[in-house]
Amino acid sequence: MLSIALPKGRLGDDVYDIMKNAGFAEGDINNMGRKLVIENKEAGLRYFLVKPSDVAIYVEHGAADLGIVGKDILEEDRADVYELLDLGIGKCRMCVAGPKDFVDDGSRTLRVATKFVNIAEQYYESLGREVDIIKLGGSIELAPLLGLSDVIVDIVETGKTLKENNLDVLAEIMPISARLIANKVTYQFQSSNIDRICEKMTEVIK
Amino acid sequence: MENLLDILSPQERTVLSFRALFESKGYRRIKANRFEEYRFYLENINFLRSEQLITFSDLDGRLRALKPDVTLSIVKHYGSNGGLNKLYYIENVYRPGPTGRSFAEISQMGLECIGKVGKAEVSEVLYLSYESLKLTGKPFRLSVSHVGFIAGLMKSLKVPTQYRGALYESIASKNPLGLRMTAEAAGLSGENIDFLQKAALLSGGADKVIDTAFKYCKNSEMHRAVGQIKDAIDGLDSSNILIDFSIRGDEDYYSGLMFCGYIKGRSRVVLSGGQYDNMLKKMNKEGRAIGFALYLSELFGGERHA
Repeated sequence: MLSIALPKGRLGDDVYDIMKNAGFAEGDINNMGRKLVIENKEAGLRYFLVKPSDVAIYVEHGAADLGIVGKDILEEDRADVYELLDLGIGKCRMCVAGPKDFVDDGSRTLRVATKFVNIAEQYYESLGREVDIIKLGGSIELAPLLGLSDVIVDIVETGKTLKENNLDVLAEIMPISARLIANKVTYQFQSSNIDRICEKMTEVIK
Repeated sequence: MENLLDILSPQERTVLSFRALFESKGYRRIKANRFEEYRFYLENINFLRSEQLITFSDLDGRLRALKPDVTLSIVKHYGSNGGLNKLYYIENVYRPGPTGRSFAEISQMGLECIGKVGKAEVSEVLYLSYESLKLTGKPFRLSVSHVGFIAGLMKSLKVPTQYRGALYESIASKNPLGLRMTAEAAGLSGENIDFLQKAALLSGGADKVIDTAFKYCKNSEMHRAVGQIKDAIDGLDSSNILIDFSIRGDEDYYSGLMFCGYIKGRSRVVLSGGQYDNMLKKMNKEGRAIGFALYLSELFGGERHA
């Protein structure tokens, strides 16, 4: 029996639909009642819902064999897992955004507000730009408006929130989408099983 | 006093059985220094799993570090006496713990074969790593790779040097999308990208995969790599052996075979090793070397629930 950690919320629901279409699941994951884990004995799979940012932790530590996680979280946490498949859903972009007229002239240390400290650090290091990273938990768009930072590094889906706050995308760091990840030890023992799941999921999302 | 062994915990018995196995093949136990000068580790930082070390100023003012690794110290002290050194150790090392929030004392046992190392010694070390895993009494896998396979593959496809690091990262995480994106950025043709993905992400049971690996060889470096894997695993029960080119090692240190051991129910690798002739060269020592470490903390830590 392989266990899969799904992220709570819309992404988890979409993935569960993919699993249903692949013949690996049935029913509605949101109607689990008090059950925290649902099993599909025929497919040999067990599902549970966890906070999206915890999925990679469950998989890396082997509490789940497989998991679905956004590339943003995977890149930020640098979890030691296999990243087997891009599901092509939950698509968005990791971007640098700031006031429309902002120009970084390099004359002083750039102040960057973000939830994604590691991604921002790595990005600016690759550019050789000295930055002060300001870690925030949410409402990142507020930081440049209140003068807390010059720019932000954040996920941009439609760009609507940025526009409403007079901000613009200044650079794209990487595309983001949901990934299927696997625990490295489990993969050594169950590679053919896991590869079969990957293949079926690929067929469904094509 | 008849049943003296009865007071030993299962873990202590396993460690004793590892010792008996190593000594049966002529390996002798050594004690490594507890600390080395900080700059010694700094010069070899790419070999270490983490750049973070516990440092302190010694009484004479020298900056020292608690050892994060044992192999470097062993090579430094035993790497130049001209003979064949068959050594093993049981030591604690100090590295960032699994949560990454604090340092941890990690119990490690390891075996090193340094100096006049030939084909027989390489096979013997692989055999000992296989037998060590077997001694745990649990289902296990020994995954084997060779630096020459991916290195040769990159050369044959003329991957520009600046893209190789990112490709190695994608291969290590078996990430086909990352691999393709980097290969595209590196200017590889569609046909070459398909081939790179197929060859670099090849893994599976040794008996099934080895012939395919030979078919994918584009140059003598790749051919030699697969040939050496085949020779080294000859005689071991292939049902527990996997070929997996995602095992990663820094080419500045590793020169040939690389391998990792896994135990069912553990969440991380419990054994890792490889041939590290290039480390000897880097440290101006003559000869060749191969060895492995068993991570006792991982081996005897809490079990995962089934």
